[in-house]
Amino acid sequence: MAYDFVVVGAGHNGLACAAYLARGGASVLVLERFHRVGGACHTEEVTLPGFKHNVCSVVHTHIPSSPVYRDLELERHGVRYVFPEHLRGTIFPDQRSIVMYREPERMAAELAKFSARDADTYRQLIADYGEFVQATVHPLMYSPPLPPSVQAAQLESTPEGNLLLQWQMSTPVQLLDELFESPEVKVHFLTRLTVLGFAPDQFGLGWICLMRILTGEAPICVGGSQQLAEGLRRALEAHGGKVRTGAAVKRILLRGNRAVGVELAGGEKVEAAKAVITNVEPKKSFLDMVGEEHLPEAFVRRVRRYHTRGRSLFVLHLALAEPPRYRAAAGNPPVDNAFSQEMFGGDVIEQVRAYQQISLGEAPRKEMLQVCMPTLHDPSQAPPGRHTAVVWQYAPYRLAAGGPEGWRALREEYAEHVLGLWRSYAPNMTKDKILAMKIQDPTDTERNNDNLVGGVDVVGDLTPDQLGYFRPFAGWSHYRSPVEGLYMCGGYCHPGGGVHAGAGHNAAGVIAEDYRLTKWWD
Amino acid sequence: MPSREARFSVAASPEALWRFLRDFEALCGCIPGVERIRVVDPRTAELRVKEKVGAVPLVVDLRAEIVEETPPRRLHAVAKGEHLTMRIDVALEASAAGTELTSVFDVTGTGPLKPIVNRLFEKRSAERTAQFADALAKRFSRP
Repeated sequence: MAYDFVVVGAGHNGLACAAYLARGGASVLVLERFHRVGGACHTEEVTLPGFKHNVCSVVHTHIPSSPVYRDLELERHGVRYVFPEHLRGTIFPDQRSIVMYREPERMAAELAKFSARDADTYRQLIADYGEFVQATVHPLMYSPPLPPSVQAAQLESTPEGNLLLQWQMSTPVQLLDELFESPEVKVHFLTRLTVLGFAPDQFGLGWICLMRILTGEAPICVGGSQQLAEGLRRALEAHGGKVRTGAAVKRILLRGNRAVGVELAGGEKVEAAKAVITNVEPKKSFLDMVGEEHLPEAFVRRVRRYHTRGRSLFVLHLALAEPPRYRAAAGNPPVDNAFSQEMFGGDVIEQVRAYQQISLGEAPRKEMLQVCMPTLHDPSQAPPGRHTAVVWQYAPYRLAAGGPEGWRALREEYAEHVLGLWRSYAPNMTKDKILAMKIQDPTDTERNNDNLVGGVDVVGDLTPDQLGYFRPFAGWSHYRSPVEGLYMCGGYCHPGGGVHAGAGHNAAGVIAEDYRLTKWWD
Repeated sequence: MPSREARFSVAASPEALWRFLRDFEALCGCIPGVERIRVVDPRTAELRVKEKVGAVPLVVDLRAEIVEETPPRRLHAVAKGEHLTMRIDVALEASAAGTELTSVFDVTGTGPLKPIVNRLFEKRSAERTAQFADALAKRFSRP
């Protein structure tokens, strides 16, 4: 059977792209090699029955306020979010803490516990840049990336814009050093950035750091992250789109330089009358499914150099008899109620050092820990009175001793070590309170979802050479490829990995323009 | 396309208000953010508009042209810049207070900045329209 569009990969970007096109009247088929949809929106009972663990993505910062949620009527399709009052708690080794709030005055009051000057700086940043960030962040995410020259031309004409340009070029640590005096305040804001996979000492990330300082949200998908994918699937199917799971695509079929369909692992061929859209990471899409012999050499070079060498995560999925009780809560009770708690030492240098260790293949022995507690805010994810926790420790994919395979020897010991680090902050997390545990080392992350090459959960490093106009490759950030009728829509495209469906939304827009479809959402 | 309609009373006759609207330099004194104006001919002017978003100024150069007019009742103008096109319709109607002015602004972002322009217009248009009305009211309340 022929469809107008065949989408390879039922991750949330593929589903979103397909749903936009289907609602525009196109016939669309999404093919997924696993037996479930969702990619990184993956919720599964990996420990005990009734304990729903979010295997990859836990929080969907941008989805509820995104055009995707509104356009595709995801609430009508059963996707609901809860918004914790207390977003995050950054806990320092001396058991003091900063709780993160979305309301600027509450946030400033937290910062003032460490530095009145920093609280004032934060208020001033909100006054100066808060509206700018609010006005630009979603338009920038939910549209194809701006050429650097357009961005620079707008900013370089005024002194205030020039300051932003200079900040943009700096490293997060440089920017935080310029803005704030308290080591703890800097750790809190730096952590907001590194939890997304951005490096603390990478030049060219200053503007993203500023955005992260000025915005805060932690929406939790009721029932688990998987429910977003299920809602997207329902939105697609409501408009006649189809999804086939257990259907692995082996090849993208070409006629001349035009994609005309796909061949499945079993040999079945599916025709695409208009285009094939791939949500699969670039090396598999282009080197394996298309074949480099069909691609321009310069493009093949860009695909080959697409890198996934950044930090990965060592993950523990826990079924808990009770939630963690932090020592820090004695001085700041909301810490215990925050959606997540973060323990990254008392100085930004510790995150810098951890990233350096990771680049050398060493698993940090100090705490680089984020612990998320979705069940505090969505009890439906565990049996009554019980909880799930996901514990993330920054870690390398390739160990100096043994490479990725080295995790086999290290994982049990490292899990105990990480639990020990956590217990030093949350002493009630004794063995009897942990009903079951599933270890997910960086190689498991890749095995669970092979789009996450090198265990990098944002589908390729978020470095300035792979962001915005350069994601995934210079000259190819507009979701098209050198093959006619072959488009890209995954987290390896702008605006990058993470669950926001930006790439799926933007790819649908470009495809609708190319095929003169009704852009019903514009 | 984001659009915004505004309606307000001005204490002046339609003829007096019309003369003011057709004087680019006088009119631009009432438009928030206009920094500079160069009158090209009686129907065309070039403007520089600065819109501050917090501390960040966005500067837009526009070429405005009156496309159609029915003195002293209706005027249709189009202002084009690198990243946006603005269509303005103004209607004047005599009222007990002087003149009822109805204006409709349609702003369309163009090119890569389209989504940002549209978002900013959505956020700012009500405030800027109110400022424009206020400026006109002050201008015509002068003795």
